[in-house]
Amino acid sequence: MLSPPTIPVSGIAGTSDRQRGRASQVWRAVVARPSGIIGVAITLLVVVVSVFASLLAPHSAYYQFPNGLTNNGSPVGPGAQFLLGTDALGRDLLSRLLVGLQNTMEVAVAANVIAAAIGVAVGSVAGYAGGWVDVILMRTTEVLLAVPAILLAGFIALVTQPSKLSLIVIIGAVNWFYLARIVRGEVLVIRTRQFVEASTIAGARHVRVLIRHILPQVWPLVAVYTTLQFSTTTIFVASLSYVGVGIQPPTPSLGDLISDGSAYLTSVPRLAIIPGIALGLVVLGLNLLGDALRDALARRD
Amino acid sequence: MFPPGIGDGVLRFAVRRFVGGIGVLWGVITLVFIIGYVIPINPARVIAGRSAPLSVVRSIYHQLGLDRPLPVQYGEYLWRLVHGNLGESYATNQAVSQALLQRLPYTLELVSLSVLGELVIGVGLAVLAARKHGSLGDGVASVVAMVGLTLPTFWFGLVLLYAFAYKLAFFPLGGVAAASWVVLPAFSLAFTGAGFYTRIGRSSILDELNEDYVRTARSKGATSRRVLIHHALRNALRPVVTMAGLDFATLMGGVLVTEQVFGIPGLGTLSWTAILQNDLPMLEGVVIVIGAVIVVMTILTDLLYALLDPRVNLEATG
Repeated sequence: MLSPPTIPVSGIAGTSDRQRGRASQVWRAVVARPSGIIGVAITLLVVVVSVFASLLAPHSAYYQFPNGLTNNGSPVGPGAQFLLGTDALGRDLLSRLLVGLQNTMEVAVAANVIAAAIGVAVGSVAGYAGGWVDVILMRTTEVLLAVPAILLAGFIALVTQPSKLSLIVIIGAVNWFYLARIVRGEVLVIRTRQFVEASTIAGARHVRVLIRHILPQVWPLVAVYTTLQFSTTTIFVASLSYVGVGIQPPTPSLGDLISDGSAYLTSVPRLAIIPGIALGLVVLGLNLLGDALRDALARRD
Repeated sequence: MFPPGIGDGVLRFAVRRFVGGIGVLWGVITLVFIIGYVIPINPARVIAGRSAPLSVVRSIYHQLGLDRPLPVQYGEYLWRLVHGNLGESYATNQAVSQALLQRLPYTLELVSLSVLGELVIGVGLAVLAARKHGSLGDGVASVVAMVGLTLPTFWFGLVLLYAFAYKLAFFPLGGVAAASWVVLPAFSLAFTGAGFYTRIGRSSILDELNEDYVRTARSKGATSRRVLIHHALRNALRPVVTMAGLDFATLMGGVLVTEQVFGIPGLGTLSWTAILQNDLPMLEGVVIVIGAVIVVMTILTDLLYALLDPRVNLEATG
């Protein structure tokens, strides 16, 4: 490791103070408008419910209650014991909804982390290195963008044994292309700034320049994009479940609940409608939060 | 139409984008080949069936040329594709190109009408929002746009089926037998996608309304409706048109789930059946055709954008 640069490129203390100030500035801008508050509230609720799903669920998500079906075998409607009624197999819909939300969010969160990591890595290397590295990486994303993600994901999901982990990896692997292009564009701009030049002149290695000086500038953009992308991923997870290659039964997920319920659309519409509303609320919260974040960061610039 | 010299730039730009597009398509074709090679599926076993004896599987394996060196296989694959031969389905032995031609019209009709619907709904809301910035109309338009973006498309499709096909019986409950089959699926896609157009359209109209030429038109006594429709909207639509082109391309692959919900025998259903049957040539065919549509639409969109706005620097955007 080289000795620390003698030129005060970016004082460490100053940076963190400035960033803390920036974070609170962004936060205030987010909660300054009603849609931002709603977005934060729904997102918090989703987080809490996802983390404590098994505690909050009134019943087991898997137990088929003997009294969960009526005498002619149809699901029981909402009541005191089953707040949202039961599903076609006599299981408690509310419990399945909560645990299903948990499973869906687990996959969506982990897949987004993977997608963000790949996107930032590819984008920043392409933008920083330039030249043929840039050309190869960006042409690759162009090719991948020309293949429908759901076909790619569905195909891989089918030939591998579907599990939650494989699903996470697959969805992460098909969702980083846009982010990589966005990060690359941002890094191209930051690369030319003086503090980056100064740090290079001071003898910092490329990896250090990239990680210590360039990436911190990219995070806000990544945060906004990932939040907005998050809602798309959540729908994507549900869509994969709907066409049958998602989280496998009996483990509930929002997509499976909608898919299973759609078979009873004409007799018990509640089974498909309620999970859809839950999914819609999650997406709404994430969209509102993402929009508020984007506007807050845009205003600061 | 253009100042002298611009036409040359457009032509050079078009040629460069075309060459780049061929490159991307080659990449897609190669990616498909690699996926087909690395996945643990034996095509000979798929063709022969589960219970066929090993000797039959071996002979089919040989017939398909799968025992030859990889570069040879890749070369023949490219040679075949260059001559427009997409191969035969493993499952039905039908020519892939024939199956694609049978299914393509359904998907094209659905996607075209969906994009049209997105434009009508999205731009309509954008005009409503931009006419009086911060008014009630603005609020309503952004709420409707947000609701559309929030609804999971396949779920919204199910709800439409329940309400308008089952309860009210205005439309068929899935399938393509009746001429009105396209209405509900196209609306489900249009409504859930329109929000993006509203956002972009709204901010773009508001930008245009701040331009000098709008002030000039106003000072010459044009009504605000005339200024909006005859002056600002025409220019503001440019980014919207660009988006429609890209959307068309994305939807070609993205309608898979909607086709499943409404039982439409289009490309999406074809590819999904191919996936379930391990029918590689069919899947390859769909991916290549969709890839080609995406590449062509991207180029056309870029060109259209450049033609609509001579200020775009063609040398810089290649």
